[in-house]
Amino acid sequence: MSGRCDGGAVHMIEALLAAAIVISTLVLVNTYTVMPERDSGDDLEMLSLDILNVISYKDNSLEHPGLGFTLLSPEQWKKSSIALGADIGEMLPAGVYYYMATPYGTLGMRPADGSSVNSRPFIAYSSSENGSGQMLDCKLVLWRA
Amino acid sequence: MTDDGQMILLSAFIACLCLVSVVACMSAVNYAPGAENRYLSADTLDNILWAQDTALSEAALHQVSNSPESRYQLALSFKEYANPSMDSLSHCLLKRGVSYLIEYNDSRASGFISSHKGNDMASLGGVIIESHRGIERVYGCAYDVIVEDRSASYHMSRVVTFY
Repeated sequence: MSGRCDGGAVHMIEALLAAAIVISTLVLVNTYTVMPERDSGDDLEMLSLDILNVISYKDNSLEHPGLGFTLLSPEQWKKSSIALGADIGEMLPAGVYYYMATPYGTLGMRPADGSSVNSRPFIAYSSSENGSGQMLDCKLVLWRA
Repeated sequence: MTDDGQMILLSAFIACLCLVSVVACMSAVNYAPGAENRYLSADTLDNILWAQDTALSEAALHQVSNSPESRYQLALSFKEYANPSMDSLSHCLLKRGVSYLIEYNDSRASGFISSHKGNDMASLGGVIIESHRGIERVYGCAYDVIVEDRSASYHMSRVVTFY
C-alpha cells in the first residue's frame, strides 16, 4: 500500500515537472512573438522616420526651413541646407549622426566603417525654371559609431 | 523515476519541440526573404503623398487670374503644370518596382464644393477654382491615387486644399 502511495507521489511530481516545462515554453514563445527584437538598427529606423516626418511637415521659415522648401531648387538648397542640417542635428541623440544625400548635394557626415547604419530613401519635389517640376531621389542616413 | 513518469516527461518535451517549431514556421512566414527590401510601406506612402501634394501645391500657387472667364484655362494650366511632376514621380517609383497612378476626381471635388456652400467655387475636371477678392485661383483639387507593388496596394480618394 505504501509502495503504491510512493509511486503516486512520484507520478505527481513528474506530472508537475512536465507541466512546468510546457508552461515555461509557452511563456517563452508568447513573449517572443508579442515583443519582437529591437536592436539599435530598429531604433535608428524609427528615428529616421520621425525626423523625416518632422522636417517634411514642420512650418517653414528662413531660420528653420522645411525639407520641401529647401529642395525646391539648387539655389534654395545652397541657401537653406545648412539651417536644415542644423535642425536635424539638434533632433539626434548623443552618438547618432546623420547624412543626407540629394541630387543637389549632401549634408552631414558619411557613415564611418563598421558603424550601425539605417538608410531611408525618400522622394522630394523640385521645381525648375521652366515650370516642369521633377521628383528627386534622396536618402537620409542615420548612423551610430 | 518510473517508466510512466519518463513517458510523461518525454511527451512534455515533444510538445515543447512542436510549439517551438510552429513558432519558427510562423516567424519564417512573417519575415520572408525579400520582405525587408520592399520599398512600398505605410511610411513610404506618406512620403509619396507628401511629395505629390507639394508638387500640386506649387502648381496651384502659379495659377492666378483676374478674369472669371479664365477659370477653365486656369484649371487646364494647373494640370499642365502639375503633370510633369506626376510623371516624374511615377518614373521615380517605377525604378523601385512601384506603380503609381493619379486621376483627378470631378465628382469628389463637386462634393467638396457642395459641403462648403457660401464660397464662390467651381470644379473643373477635379480642380477646384475659387474666386477670392476678385482673383481666380486654384483652391484645391480632388484625386484618386493608386500606389502598388507586387505585395501591397493602396487606393485613396482625397481632396487637398492649398489655401
